[in-house]
Amino acid sequence: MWCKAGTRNERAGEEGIAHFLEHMVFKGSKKQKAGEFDQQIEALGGISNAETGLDDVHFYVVVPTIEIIDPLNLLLDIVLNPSLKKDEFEREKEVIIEEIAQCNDLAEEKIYQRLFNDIWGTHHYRRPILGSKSNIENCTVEKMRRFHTRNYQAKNIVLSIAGKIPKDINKIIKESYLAKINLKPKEAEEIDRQKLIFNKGHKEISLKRLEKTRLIKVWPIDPANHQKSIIASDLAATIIGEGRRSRLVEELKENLKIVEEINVEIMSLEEGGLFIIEASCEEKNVKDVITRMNKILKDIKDNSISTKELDRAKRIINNTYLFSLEKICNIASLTGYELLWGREQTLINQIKITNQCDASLINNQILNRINPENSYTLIAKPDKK
Amino acid sequence: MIKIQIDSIKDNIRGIFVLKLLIPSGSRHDPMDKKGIHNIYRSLILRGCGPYNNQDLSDIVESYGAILNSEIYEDNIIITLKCAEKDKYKLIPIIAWMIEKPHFSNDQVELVKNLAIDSIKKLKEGNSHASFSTWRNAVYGTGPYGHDPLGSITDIKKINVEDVIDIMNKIIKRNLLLVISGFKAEESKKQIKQLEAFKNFDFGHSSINDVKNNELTNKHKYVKHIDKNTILTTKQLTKQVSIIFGTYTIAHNNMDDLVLRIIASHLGSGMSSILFRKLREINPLVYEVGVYFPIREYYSPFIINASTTSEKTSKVLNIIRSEWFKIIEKKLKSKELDLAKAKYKGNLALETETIAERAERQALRIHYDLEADNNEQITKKINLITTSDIIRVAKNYLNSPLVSIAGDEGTIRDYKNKHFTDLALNDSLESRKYLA
Repeated sequence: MWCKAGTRNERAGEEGIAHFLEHMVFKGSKKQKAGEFDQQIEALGGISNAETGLDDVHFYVVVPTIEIIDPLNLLLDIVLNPSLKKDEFEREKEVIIEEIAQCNDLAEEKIYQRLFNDIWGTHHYRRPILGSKSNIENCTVEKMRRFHTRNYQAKNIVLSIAGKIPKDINKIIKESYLAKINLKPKEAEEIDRQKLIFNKGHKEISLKRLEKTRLIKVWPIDPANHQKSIIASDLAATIIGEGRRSRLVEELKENLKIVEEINVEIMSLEEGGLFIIEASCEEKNVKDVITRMNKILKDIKDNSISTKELDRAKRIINNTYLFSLEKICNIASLTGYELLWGREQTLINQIKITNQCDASLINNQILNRINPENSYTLIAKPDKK
Repeated sequence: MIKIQIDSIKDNIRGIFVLKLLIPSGSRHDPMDKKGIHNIYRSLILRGCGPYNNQDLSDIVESYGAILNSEIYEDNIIITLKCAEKDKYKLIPIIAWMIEKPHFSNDQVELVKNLAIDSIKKLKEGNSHASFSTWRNAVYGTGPYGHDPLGSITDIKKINVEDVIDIMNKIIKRNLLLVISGFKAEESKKQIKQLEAFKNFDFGHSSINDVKNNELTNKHKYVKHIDKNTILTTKQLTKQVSIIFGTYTIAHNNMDDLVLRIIASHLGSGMSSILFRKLREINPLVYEVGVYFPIREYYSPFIINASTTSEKTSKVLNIIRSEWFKIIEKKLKSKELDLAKAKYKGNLALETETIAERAERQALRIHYDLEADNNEQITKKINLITTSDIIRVAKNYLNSPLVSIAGDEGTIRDYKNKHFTDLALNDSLESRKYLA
């Protein structure tokens, strides 16, 4: 069950509430006591969990192939009618504060939080999904109830089911809690949306317990709705940094041996995502890595990409995607996510679009943009003091 | 001839082919002064073999969008090939060459050594690694399970090409196991035997570990005699405290293994588990808690791991201790046992959801000599487990756990040289408030 109720839906004073609510959902409803939902799903041999992102939140259950009515109703009930009891709420605050403390103890988490904070200025995307300790301490049941009422509405929700679907699924859903959901919201969406502005720049920081220097370079990419552009970016990321024959891995890791690890990936978001290159290396090699990285990126743009490397990238992306569809949860998740954001498409469409991409599209959509002048670079060095 | 057993699973998934090659030689077979050499070996065989150098090999695998990797475990190395069904015969010969004709150039050996050393250093960025390493060292000492499969930096630096060739020569004398899975698995099995690349492989062998019996009698070689009441401490530059609480137990093919897995399910599987409820839902002391009980050929660790802040450490320790010993002292309610069984059965199904997971399970089943151990038969065995079995097995194997904590200087000072039993008594009044 996907809902447009992520970090970007938080108003000032609500920082961290989207994720906190995700936890509170599992604390039960009027009909289910705290822990009862987990017990019932797990007694069926199933699993349940949830995840909050910058744009949205999703809750899921995976149960054996039995009739789905009970798990479906249990899930709809806790998500749509959470009880948000005061004692449970206060107790869960401490769990969230533990989660924040655990995150703050991880060097990688600190690096990325610093990065988002620097590149996205005052936009919602810069916020830590978990919020800060003081955000959580200042949160109230009333605030959370308002957030739930405002965001968990019919227009913001998609329910996705994969597996053996009962013939009378429409009847089951009509009789479920989903049919009773408020279709006419009392409170209109009032988030003051700021335009996403990407701040380029260069920063160096030192972190304790970091064993290797991390070098991260990022560029802005189009919003997730620009599907062709996103897929072109994914292909570019594969050509540049996936596998030993990719441009950066071959040159910097295999031939010159100046990086220990180098990854290229895209982060797709509804208002605009990121093209990310992350390398792990010795501090003394950082300058050399940056110079050579810039040269490789320039070279690929000037001399374009070969048919061979484009075909290779398409095979890698298509096979990875197809292999991922073996898991039923991934099918439900992909379908639900795309539909939530109005991208009604069959699973096979992704492969069709990938196959249609050519070198000039990749050049226009992404390679022309990822030059050193437009990037933000963060270098995190081990603090040996 | 290289001795190999081949097994096939017909899978209903069309279009995907998976091959798993199990080499029954893992990090526990590393020579004492070359800890990490099996990991070096398994990386190198992916970097050139038969007619392909490192670049050619990457080229062919990546151009088919295939996955070719190898993983190191304590007991074995597992190589995985996953590709589109239509591409399989272009890629399968590589598996034979990786075993029989790997290229071990000085250049690649040095690269792989450096990458392994960097990975070991990066492990230290996480806090739980420190508490687990200390625990492992206390329980398994300098025995075969006493080091991380990645090895030790000092030893890796000493490894040269000749050492790797030496390991390879030992490996090709072992009985290997090949499991293939796909819609046309039986046909592929016949074809593989005919392939030129496999002409020096003798397919008529059983892969069950040939040296098992000798090793089993040497318990002292595997585990140390230790003072289990002392809390082990490791100082870290951190604000979190990582707790490891557990003991070594038994081999995966021991008939009591399944009972221990049901205990692990009761203690730490899912949000209905007793530790999740006591340490997170009722008492908000941790964000994550779990049980680590891997599949091992001998003396598998059975561990509870949790992470918390300094001031909550003693409460967390007391609750873990209390729930651990309840298993030994008090029979589970039948409702609790039923829930633990349901979770284990459910996880079993989820963990064999993909064609690659099913192939790996089959490889391990054969390797660990578990007769006809499919999900259906495991389910039947689980249904027969009683609350008396739980208490008997817990008494036999879980009666003396060892605790290791890693944290900041202040926390470590509080716990250093303390005995766990004393600490539990000191905090018993306070912890009672928390125990629901």
